[in-house]
Amino acid sequence: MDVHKHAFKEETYELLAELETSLLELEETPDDMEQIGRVFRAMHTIKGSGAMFGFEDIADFTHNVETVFDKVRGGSIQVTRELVNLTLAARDHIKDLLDEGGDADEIQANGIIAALGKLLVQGNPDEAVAALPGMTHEEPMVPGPIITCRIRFRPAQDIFASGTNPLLLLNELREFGECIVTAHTEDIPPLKELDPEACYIFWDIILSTSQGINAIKDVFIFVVDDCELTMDILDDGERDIDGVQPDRLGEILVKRGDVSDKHLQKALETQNRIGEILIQEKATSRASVASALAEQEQVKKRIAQRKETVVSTSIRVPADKLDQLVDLVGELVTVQARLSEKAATEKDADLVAIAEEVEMLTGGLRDNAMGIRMLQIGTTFSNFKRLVRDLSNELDKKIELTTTGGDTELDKTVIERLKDPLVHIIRNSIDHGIESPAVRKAGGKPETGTIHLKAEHSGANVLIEISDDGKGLDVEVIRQKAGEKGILPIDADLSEREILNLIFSPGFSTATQVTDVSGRGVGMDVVKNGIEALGGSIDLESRKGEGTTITLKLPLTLAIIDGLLVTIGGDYFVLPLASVEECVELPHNRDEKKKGGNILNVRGEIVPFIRLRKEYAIHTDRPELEHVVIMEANGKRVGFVVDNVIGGHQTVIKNLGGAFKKARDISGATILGDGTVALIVDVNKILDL
Amino acid sequence: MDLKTEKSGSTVTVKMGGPLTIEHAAKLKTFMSNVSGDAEEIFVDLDGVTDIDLSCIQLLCSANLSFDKNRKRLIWKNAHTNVITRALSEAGYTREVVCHDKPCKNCLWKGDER
Repeated sequence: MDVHKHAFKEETYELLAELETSLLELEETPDDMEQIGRVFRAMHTIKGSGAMFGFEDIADFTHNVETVFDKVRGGSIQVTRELVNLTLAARDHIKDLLDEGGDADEIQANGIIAALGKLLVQGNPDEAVAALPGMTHEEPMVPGPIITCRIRFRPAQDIFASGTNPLLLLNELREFGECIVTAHTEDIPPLKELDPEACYIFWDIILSTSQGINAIKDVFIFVVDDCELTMDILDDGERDIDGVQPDRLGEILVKRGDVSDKHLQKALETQNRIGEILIQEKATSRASVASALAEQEQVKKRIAQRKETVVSTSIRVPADKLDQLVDLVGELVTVQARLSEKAATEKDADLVAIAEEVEMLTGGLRDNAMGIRMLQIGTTFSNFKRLVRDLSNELDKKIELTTTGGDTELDKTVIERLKDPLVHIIRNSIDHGIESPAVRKAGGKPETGTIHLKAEHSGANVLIEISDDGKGLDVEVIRQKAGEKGILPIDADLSEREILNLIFSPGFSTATQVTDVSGRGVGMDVVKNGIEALGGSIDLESRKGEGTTITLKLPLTLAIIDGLLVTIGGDYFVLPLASVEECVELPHNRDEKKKGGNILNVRGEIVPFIRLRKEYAIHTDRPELEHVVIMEANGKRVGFVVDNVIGGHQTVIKNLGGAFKKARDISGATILGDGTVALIVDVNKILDL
Repeated sequence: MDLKTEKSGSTVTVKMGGPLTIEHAAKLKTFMSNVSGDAEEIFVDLDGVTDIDLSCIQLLCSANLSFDKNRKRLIWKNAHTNVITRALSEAGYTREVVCHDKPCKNCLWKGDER
């Protein structure tokens, strides 16, 4: 695909995500002019760039929504739930057009346009006709740098006679960007001398816009011959702003020709506030001073904004280039490990020094590269607002989604693969967790239920908590259903936590009715598998009548992890260090055939252990002294017996490939410094097996 | 345009209603030129104004100036309706800025005194 078209699509997807967030905010605060402006600008940009890059269908369709939001900005149409619904539907349609390249549902699009047209008719019947479908859109303007200019517009006195309303020209300028208009009224005479059909007012306008000077000139195209019009560019948006200070008030007034240099110097000598002095001296009008102050303020603001922009300048990089970078860093980490090992064996002081330096630099590069891939989870959280809104409407429930920790960062891949499990959990909360408003009211709860998403760092992991204040899980019902489905013997002796965890079993559902939303018994096991595939774990707490909390524990990244390198029968294995709690020795002379033989007593605590040698069918002799690596997995402490513990290892994760897809207890592999392959133990899978 | 006058002692109250637009500007000028007579205080109630354009904004401004020069008090009532506020804002009447070097005491658009 053409690189520009690709860039348009990427940017439009981002704009559509922002648009959705703005619309949902707007639904809660319908008078928020900032959000209204955001929606309008998003539509305007999509329309303009769409037409520019050949997406005519998107441009034409978006034009309709933009027209409506222009009226919303102007105050002639109010933000209602209906308008938000329609705009969300329009947003979805634009996304379909982007996804499918023009094969989106045309009937649905026409329905949206017709409904928007209706809103226009209600809002302003006279103008609605022009805005209905079929109207051609204006040529898109290429956004340039934001310029700030000063305009003095003094219309001819007989401008009203020609039917021109100068205020419409000012409003047109306001649509271009930030615009400060100051009216000069000093030429208005007393009633006796006033011609009621003449225009005595003139204006100073300070405008910051990306539309370009020609677009500004076009606004005055029909009056330019009969008016006094001056335009001065105060900031072209491109010049170097280092050390640039806005002009002083006196300098602005002199530049504008409102005050002579002589008057200014005289006023400066009195050491008082320059504006007041010049007014008292009748050297200029109050409006001129006010306008000059507005100009000074605006230029100051623009310089500050541009400095901020310069500081936070970012570049767009395709995700696959980042993946390549991380792969290369991974290779470098492996080579660096080889170098360190070689240096240690050679016992060459110079080589050791170089290896240490390379190790330090590689560590920095690794952290930097991994940091680039980190994304805030807040964007993903925002996407669920729409899900909650639409599903709660569908089920006639009142549900509010609240979030905390949106600025918590996770690896891009983890975030992408986390989305589906989260959707499953939230859908379940909406459908089975939160009760209907009537039931909640009867139970003494607020009619509106709450689903709360929380993210926080916990060591090398991120914890994501999804909690609701719904009806919670009924342990007895779960036990009974599990028995009926043969997942569990009816008389099995399980703790409450273990029973709750049965909902992660394949085919398990407590729902008595299958709905469009959930209840088919497909879901929570998929969620568990999805989270475990990310190297994470899932935990559940629930109180009947009070609500449920599901906690996901996820690694920060999937590319490089801190591992604990161990050996079994001469083979190398890596255990995820984040889950390792401690290592203890296991004497050789234990009789493991006796009852309790696979259990350790660690400072009074009973810890079961598993022999990895047996799991991986390694038939060499056991050493005299074995080691048990005690790890936290699925909420329990479990030991894994190994021959030797080598130590911490930066583990660059390599996929095993399709040939080893049946090796369920291995999550990947890594290459050690000497080229040996070490397998990464999938602790959760071993416990499931 | 609808203009009603009530006189009480040295005070005149004017109630303005309907659109104050250029079609009515000449009539409004004549009315405002003659309304005060010997009254010292003129209250102008803008509550019923449904529309106001630039020609009438500057006419009210001119009336304010004239009354001030003639040492009469023009007092605006209900000058903060949506219609008036929006029209003044569109016309660029910054709230803090008054018309002339020697500002009228009862300036229509001097925000806090409206």
